[in-house]
This record gives sequence, C-alpha cells and structure tokens, in this order.
Amino acid sequence: MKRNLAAMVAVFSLVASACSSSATTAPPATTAPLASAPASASVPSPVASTNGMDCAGGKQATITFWHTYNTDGPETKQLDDVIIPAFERYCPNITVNAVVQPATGMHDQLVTAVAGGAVPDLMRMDIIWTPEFAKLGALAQLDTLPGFDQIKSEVFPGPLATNAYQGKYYGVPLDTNTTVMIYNPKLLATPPTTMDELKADVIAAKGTNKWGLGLGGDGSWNLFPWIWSLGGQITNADYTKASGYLDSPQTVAALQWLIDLNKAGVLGPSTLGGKPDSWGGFQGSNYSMINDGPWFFPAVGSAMGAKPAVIPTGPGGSIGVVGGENLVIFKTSPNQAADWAFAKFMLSDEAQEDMAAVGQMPVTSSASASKAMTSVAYYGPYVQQLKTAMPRPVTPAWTKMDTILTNAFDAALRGKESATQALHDAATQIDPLLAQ
Amino acid sequence: MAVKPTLIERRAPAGPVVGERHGARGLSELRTALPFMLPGLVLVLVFVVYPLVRGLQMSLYHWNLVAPSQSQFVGLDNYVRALTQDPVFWTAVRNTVLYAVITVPAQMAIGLGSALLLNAAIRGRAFFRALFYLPVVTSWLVVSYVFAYLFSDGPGPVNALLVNTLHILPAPIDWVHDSFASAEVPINLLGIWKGIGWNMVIFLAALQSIPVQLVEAASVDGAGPWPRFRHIVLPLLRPAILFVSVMLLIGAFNVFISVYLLTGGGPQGSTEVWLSYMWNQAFSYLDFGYGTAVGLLMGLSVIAIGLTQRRMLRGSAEN
Repeated sequence: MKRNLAAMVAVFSLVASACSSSATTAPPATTAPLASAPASASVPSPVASTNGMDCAGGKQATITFWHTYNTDGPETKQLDDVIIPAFERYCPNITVNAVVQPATGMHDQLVTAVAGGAVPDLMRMDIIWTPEFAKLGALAQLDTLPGFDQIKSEVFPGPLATNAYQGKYYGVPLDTNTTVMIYNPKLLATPPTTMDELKADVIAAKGTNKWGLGLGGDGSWNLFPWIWSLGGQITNADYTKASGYLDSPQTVAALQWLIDLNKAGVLGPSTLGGKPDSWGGFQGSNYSMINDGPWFFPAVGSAMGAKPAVIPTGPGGSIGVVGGENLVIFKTSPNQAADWAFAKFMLSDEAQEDMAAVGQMPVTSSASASKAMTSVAYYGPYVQQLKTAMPRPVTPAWTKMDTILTNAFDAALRGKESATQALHDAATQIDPLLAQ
Repeated sequence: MAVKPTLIERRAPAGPVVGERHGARGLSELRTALPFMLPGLVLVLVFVVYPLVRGLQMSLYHWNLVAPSQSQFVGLDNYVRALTQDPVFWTAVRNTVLYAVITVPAQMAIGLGSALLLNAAIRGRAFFRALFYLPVVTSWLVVSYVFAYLFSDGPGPVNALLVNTLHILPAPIDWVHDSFASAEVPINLLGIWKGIGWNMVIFLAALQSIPVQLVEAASVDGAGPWPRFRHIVLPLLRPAILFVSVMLLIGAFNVFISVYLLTGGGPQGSTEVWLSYMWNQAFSYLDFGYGTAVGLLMGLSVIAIGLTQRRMLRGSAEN
C-alpha cells in the first residue's frame, strides 16, 4: 500500500505540472455553468472551459450516440441520468440519443452499419478498432476541428496515440484502463510482487476446485501482460515486423512459463475458456487471483472485499496492457458541430469525473488528479500500472492479427504445438499483414 | 378482384387461334397477371437478383466498403487466391463436406426409422410426432446455446454423464475447445438431432402413400417384416429418399449458426466451415471481395451437386 501511495503521488505531481503548463495558455477562469461539477472545477481546465460556450452555434440537433457502457454495472445509468442531462442543460439545443449496444458482436454489427450507411453520429469504440475504421474511411478527421489541440495537450499521450492513422487523428480518447492482479484477501494474505512469488502462490493454492490464478481467456488481451512482464515482445516498436520479436527466445520462454503452469494443472480452467469463468470462479472462491480491469470493482469486486495489486515483476518488468475506448465521429454524420460539442463535453472534468465514479478511468490529466479519482480506493494500482502499460499493436490489421495470436497461444497452451513452433508460425503469418 | 372477370371473359370467346392473335392474347394476359406477380417479382429482384449480381461484381474487386467506386478491379484474383493459395479455405470446404457426409445419411436413417415406428398404430402417436418435430421448429440460435451448455468444459452435463454416470470417459473433455475431433462431435450431433423431425414428416407422408394392398399381398405370400421393407417399402420410398437427400445436402452446405456459436471456427480455425469462413473474411477482416468470392464458390458447388442429383432423380423416374 505504501508503494502504491508513493506511485500515486508521483503520478499526480506529474499530472499537476501538466495542468499548470496548459493553464497558462488557457482562459483564466471558466465562464461555463459548472456549478454542479465536483470540487476540482475550480482548477482552470482548458477543456472544461470550452464546453458550454460552444453548442454548435445554438443550432437545433439530435445526435445519436452508440456506446457499450455496461448495464449490469452502473455505467449506463450514470450516462443516462447524470452525464447527458448535464450536457443538455448546457446545450439545450442539442438532444443526445444514447443507444446502448451489446459488446459481443459489436465489431461485426459496426461493419454492417458502415456498409449499409446506418451508423450513428458518434460512438464510443474500443481503442483497437479506430485505425481499422479510419482506414476504411468511415470516420471523420478530428484534428482540424477547433479546440482539438487543447484536448491533445490535456489527454494522456498513450490513449491519444490509438486514434492516429497515417499521422492524422480520427478520434479522441474517452476512457483508459489496464488490468492488474485482483486477489481475494480471504484466500491470499499478501499479493505476490514477483513472478517467482506468484508461481509459488499459484502452486500452493491448488486444491479441489481451488486454483491460485484464473485468467479470463488465452487471447491477446489476457496473455499480453504475462508475455511482456515475463520478458517477451510482440512486434518491433513501430508495429511493422513480428518475426524476431514474437518468436524470440524471450517470448518463447515467457509463453513456456505459462504453459508449464497450465501443464501442472494449477491455472484455473477459465484460462482455456472453461468453467468456472474468471469472475464466477473469483466470486465462488475457486480462484484466489484473477487479472482484470477497474470495472470489476463496482460490478462485483468491492462488495466481496476484493483487492487490486500491480502485476508481479518478471524479467520484463511489470507491464499491463492498455485498454479503453475512443470517441469517434462518423464521416456521414450531418451534425458534426453538435457531435464535436458533445465529444468536448465528454472530455470535460465534469463528465470525466462522473464516469470515473463508476469505474471508467479518465484520460485527462486534470480529471485524473481530481478527488473523484483519489477518493476511490481501487484506482491506485491501476494508475500505477498504466505508467508502464503498453498498447496492443496499433494497426488496421489488428483483428486478423488477434485471431492469429489467439490461435497460436491456444495451440501452445493446450500442448498441440510447441511454443517455439506456434510463435514462429504466427510471426510468419503476421509479418505480411504489418507490411501492408 | 375486379380483374378476375376479364380473365374469364377473354378466355371465353372460342375462335380460330392464329399465331398473331395468340401473341397478342399472351401479352394482354401478362398485363392482367402482372399486378398479381409484381409484389413477388419485386421482392425477388431486390433481395435475390440484385444482391447476386452485386456479389458477382464485388468478387472481382478488392472491395472498398465505404466508397465502392474506389474499389480496385482484380479480375479473378480472389478466386485464384481461394483455390490455390489459401489452405484454411480448403479446411473449411473439407469440414463442410464432412458435415454433409455425416449428418445427411444419419438424419435420413433415424428419420426413416422413427417414421416407420410412428406409422404403426401405437399409443401416443401424435405426441411422439410432435416431440420429434419440436427441434425442427426451434431456432438454431436457441438449440446451439443449449448444445453449448450441454457440451461445456469440465463438469458440464455431457461430461458428467460420460465420466461420472456411465464411466465411458476417464476424464472430462473440453469438447468445443480441445481439438478438431472433439469439437466436431457437438456440431454434427446438433445437425443430426435437429433434422430428424423434418425427415420423419416427409417419410411419414411417403409411407402413407404406399398402398396397403401391396404390403398385405407380400405378407400373404409369406414375406417377413424385413423382406417386406427391403423389397416393397424401400423401392417405393425412392423418390422421397432422393428428394430428402437433395434438400439435406443443400441444407448441410448452409451450416453456419451452430458452428459460429459452438466453436467460432476454433480450436485454431480447425472447425471453420464454408459459410463461417466467408463471414470471417467479410465481417471480421473487412475483405468483402474475397468473402463474396468464397461465398460464390460455395453457390457454384451447390448448383453442381443439385444438377447431379437432379439427373439421378430423373433416372429414378424413368425406372
């Protein structure tokens, strides 16, 4: 806890300096009616100050907003009951029609919508899809819009980078996250801090219907933190080559480490798609540890006393995977100005902090430093993990690459192929995709 | 309604039919019939013909989904790629053929068997007929999820039955995740189970059209149940058998929902079928040109199989 606290202080001092530097170029005080905003509204924020003043020139508009905020947790309720009413108070001329979409099958549904011209005005989409749909020509370029540069200076560079395609921006980051270790203090007194400790804990925890660690699956999202922390790599730094990285001896060793644990029968069945799944197994006290995002706490974790901890350190460090969502505007939307006004509002301190209260981590420095964040106990390890977290390869070919990687990991973990063979084959298939 | 009398009126006058007048009458009949045909014709044009032509066009391009006019013409490249450069395409073809080879005969055999049983005067006949037919009218989506549950990993119902109750398996199998062989089990079982009822109904109808006298005459001549079935019933069922096999084969090539929901083509793409592969190319990888080429290749092979079977049907009619 002490270490986490120190990390948080470090992050927030960083954040504070970013704030003060941007404040010098911004209007000194906000003229927007932000009276209902939390305490931090008194800190001048250039993003917050622009909304309320610019409501698409007062033109009447109804905009449709697709999102995948959860409905079993409090996210959608917060959006519908707090965020959108607040926006519509500032901009009475704009009506936001928010439509919750199922996360499962969203990609395919979106492709159909794009092909049929049935897309909404704007959408909250997985960060990993933005380059793909930008390449497709479905998204509006945002970096030419008034106020984009201010947003650019306010948001974290990592999440912002996921909006870029061929040097232009096709979205703004909306929320960010990563996964950390979540442990059940009733089953595990102290979380492991190194991979060796974790291995010992996992082996010790094995019993009848008891496992030390249940991963959420064996796809890229679930395995990247382990591959990276155990010293492996996926591609080179500019995502143009996988051979020599994905099939390097370090990556093979990292995957082998997981294979060995699985072979010993100490990894929960959820790792290979079995039952109980990671949430169910954690709730049922079958798993003492899982690896998941901050949304786990408001939905399940907080009520049962779950605790977060940073990923144990291995030869590659303690590396999480960056997740989150971007806000994109579709090229075909007739209400671009109104869309942009809403997008800017969603990046205001008020909206960012209100969503932070329900498990959505802010992307702006100012909102991250706010009381909304510091008062939530479980955010600490996530904020620390985000400092070293890495994004999945930012490439339009990601969907295909993800399938190839998942197949390779799955084959290796099930012992159908050796780690060396599986990763070599995957790298050979991925190279031409990245070269395109 | 007002048109109907005209139709009769025009047919009524009996006169010498010459070529010219015949043509004119045909045209005016068409004019009369057109309003009746139009709704159906429009639906077929919009939802069958147009997509087909558009699909043919797409398959010759590197298709740009958002700006079709900027699509790059690649000729037959998509077809060449599928047939000569894509091993997963052939895996999908193999699995589709395998599915047809396993499920079509099995559905027909069990369907015919249950039809024979339910053709007899047994108690609760209507109840059993409804019971067998129930899977046919239940949505693929629902039954796929039911099978996914039945064949779930670890202590799933099927594993529990085979491991704990019947002691056939030493340990639970991760049916849909473990291997190609294990994942094909629920896919094919579902295909068979869901189709039995439809086969049963067709065979029941065919059985009831067999004259009782023929079977009775054979009995009088001393033929037992098996010779009666083998030499009287089965030959008379031949048209029904050929009809059912044509329909089932086309149906088998269309297998998609069960694979998509049970295995998603996994593990490692080994259970991919023709349509799931087409879907993935188009909707997951946005390669619509290639996806339509894969789909059209399937259409071509279904047409080829259908024509072959038609020839067989015609042969049987001549017999």
